[in-house]
Amino acid sequence: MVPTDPADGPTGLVNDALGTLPPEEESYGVEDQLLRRKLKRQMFAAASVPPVKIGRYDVLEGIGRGAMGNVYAAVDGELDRKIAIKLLRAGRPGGRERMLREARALAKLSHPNVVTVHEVGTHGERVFVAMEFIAGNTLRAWLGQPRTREEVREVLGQAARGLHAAHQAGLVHRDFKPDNVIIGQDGRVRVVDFGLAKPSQPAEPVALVETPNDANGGAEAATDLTRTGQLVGTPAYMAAEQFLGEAVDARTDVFAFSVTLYECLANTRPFAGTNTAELAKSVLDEQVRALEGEGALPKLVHAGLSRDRERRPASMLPFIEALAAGTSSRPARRGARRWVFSAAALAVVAGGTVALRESDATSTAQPSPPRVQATAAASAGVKDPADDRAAEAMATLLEAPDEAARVEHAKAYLESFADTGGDARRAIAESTLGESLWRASCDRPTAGLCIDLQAKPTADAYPHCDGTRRGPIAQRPRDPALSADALAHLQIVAELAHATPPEREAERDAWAGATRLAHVRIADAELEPLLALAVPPDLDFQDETAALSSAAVRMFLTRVTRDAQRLLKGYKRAKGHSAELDVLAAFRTGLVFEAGSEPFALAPIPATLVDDAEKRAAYCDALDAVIEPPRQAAQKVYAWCDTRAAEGGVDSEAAQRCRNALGR
Amino acid sequence: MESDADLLRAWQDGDAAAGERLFDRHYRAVARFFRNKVDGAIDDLVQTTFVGMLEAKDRFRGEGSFRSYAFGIAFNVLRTHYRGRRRDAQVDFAVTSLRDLGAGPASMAAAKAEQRLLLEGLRRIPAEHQSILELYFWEPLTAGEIAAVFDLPVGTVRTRIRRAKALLAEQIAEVGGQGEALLSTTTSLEDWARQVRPQ
Repeated sequence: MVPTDPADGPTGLVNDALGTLPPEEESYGVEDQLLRRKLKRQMFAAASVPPVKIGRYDVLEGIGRGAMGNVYAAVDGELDRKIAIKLLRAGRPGGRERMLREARALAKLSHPNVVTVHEVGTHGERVFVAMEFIAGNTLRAWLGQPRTREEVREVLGQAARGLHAAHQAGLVHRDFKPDNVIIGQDGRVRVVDFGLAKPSQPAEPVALVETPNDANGGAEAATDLTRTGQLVGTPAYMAAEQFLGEAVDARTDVFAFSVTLYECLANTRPFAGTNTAELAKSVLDEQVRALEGEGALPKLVHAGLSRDRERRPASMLPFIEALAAGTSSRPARRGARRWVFSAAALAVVAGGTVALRESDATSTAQPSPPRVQATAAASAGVKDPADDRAAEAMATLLEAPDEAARVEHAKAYLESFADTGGDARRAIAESTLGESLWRASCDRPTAGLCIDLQAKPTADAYPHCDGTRRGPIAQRPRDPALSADALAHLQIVAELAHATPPEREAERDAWAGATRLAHVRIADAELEPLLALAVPPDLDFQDETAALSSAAVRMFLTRVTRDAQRLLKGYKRAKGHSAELDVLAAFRTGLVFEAGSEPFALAPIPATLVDDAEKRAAYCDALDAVIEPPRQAAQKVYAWCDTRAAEGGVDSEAAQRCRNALGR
Repeated sequence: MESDADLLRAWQDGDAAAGERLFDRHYRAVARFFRNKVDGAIDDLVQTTFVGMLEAKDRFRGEGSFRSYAFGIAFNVLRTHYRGRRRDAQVDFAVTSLRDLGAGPASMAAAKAEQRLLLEGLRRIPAEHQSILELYFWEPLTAGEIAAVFDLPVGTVRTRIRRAKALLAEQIAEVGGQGEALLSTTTSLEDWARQVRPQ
């Protein structure tokens, strides 16, 4: 027992923590024995030091270290062959069974491009995987020399087939990267380290804030991005869902494969960032450096790098086809068409989830949505008869009696005057179309948002700290084609926000309103998924209040705060034109704040705390500290919203909802 | 069972088997001592420590604890290791932390976030304080034994243990405080609410 000093007082916590250390002695078991054996041989010339054993294998030496565990070269005495053994770190209870199950599933899988697993067993508390010893290079080392596109296609094609075979068997790799692809001396490519990267603990949060003290570790941090760390995978290859601690599936591997393929083709990685936080931001903001090149492959890679997995190819098949297309003598064009077909087929297979939008697959043939060009007439202020005709067409649009007529006039206007009638007028017409399409893309909107407010859980069904204020929010799917079209129009409106204001008052007013509404809709498109976000179910609170105040909170807030700040800017732009828009923007703003509080209020209380009143109270205090600031901010905004609605005589759904939310 | 002192004497007199037994007894603790203090391989440091026992014939006279003697050598080996990495050769372990000396992130494996926090905190306090705390809690050595390791009065060691804990608590709060920085980001969103208030 650790001696305690009664005078410790506030450092008691430190005492407790120190008392549990040294940590993970057992993870040094094999290392310790190997080092001990080596030193004894050196120091005492001891001939009779027994070999270090894992299972029935004699360990020779360590050949790799990773966050998941260390790899050793070993000898199988019975079969007289050299093997590789991966000894996994001990996970939390339950994790071991899962690892065993997955490793056994992998052992059953026989595919030329997947490493052969000989045996799965336990060594003390830890799982080991004995597998074929592959003499060869990792893909990363292989890339150290210049390679032709054909070579890259061949190697990556094999790796893609290996991944696909595993996916078919229900396995997810979780940590695919060039270091986990081995090119044997025989040229055969094997994917290694399947399914072992599941975190043995709640994922480490992505720190938004770099400590200044870490400045000297910068160079090191950069190289660390390719190493499996305390995060759920290897930062440079991690998909958004991994940064967010959400569940992973085959499409997570599709993302990692796309990063790898990109890296092979472009000799650089797709997302910028010298540390994990920057990288996570690039991935979550989808800031991909464009990949040059002909044919279907760059497009496919970009689709694979989408933040939302729904927009990634649903399986490895398109990659296998596209990579094979390039190695044959078929013209690339034909390969591209074949892929377009298979992507469409996949979209159907995926059961309504459109893996790749039709417009994505065909947009090579079509011009992208018309980009903005300043028109000479408007910028130079030159009067000409064409301007009068445009003004007339615009007046007809503005005076149209209903939405159908407005849409017709907007189309007619754009057909004749899109590039000649002036930027502000164009914005008005684009906004008319965008707004109409946006509304049509949702079958049952709630105050203009495509969401469902679900019933508030009852106290006994949902034992929680002090109850919750509203139920969870579910996102209703918008029609993907309609909403994509709508946003394309609305983006144009946003881009034209700095055009010269029109002279005619009616146009000026309509343009100001259209621009602001476009900002609201563009932000809405991001707000809807944000509102549906729940505290990731994978996070467990087994570490009780400590975990709540650190890992879970930080990780979730990383996403919410970043998205929220962007959205708040969008809604802020909507303010200052009319009471109605002010109220709408304020209501949205309140929702943004609630996105930072209500998911926590709805997070289930850890089972371990349910029966312990004291711990539960501490947990609830910690929870309140997180929930209260954004809740209060939301209340302030709702109060302002209510006042503004009353002043301006606004009785929209948004106004009513602001009122109802007050004091909630 | 032979005492450590007997084994050391026998080893010093050329009995390798005695040396092996002594090595087996203390290998783990010595390895552990270095693990949270250097990145990378600790082979040489462990070996130098044991060889040091063999060479420093006259220091251990069978008085006091053998472990104090062993850790005293280990601490010197550590100091020499870091001096070798610095040009100015002056490293005061009473005020300099290993992190200041450029030790990278903790290489010691820790499964839980709090443990990593603790290891990181330990590396941020002066190296002597770090060593004192680790020996006191992990081995555990008594204050008297620790006094022998560092050649300090027992009263001073007691004071340093308390001081080290306070420093550690501060460092942990600082390292762990990144979460709060984020929370303040959330509250800074409140600014917006203020801006939208009617003039």
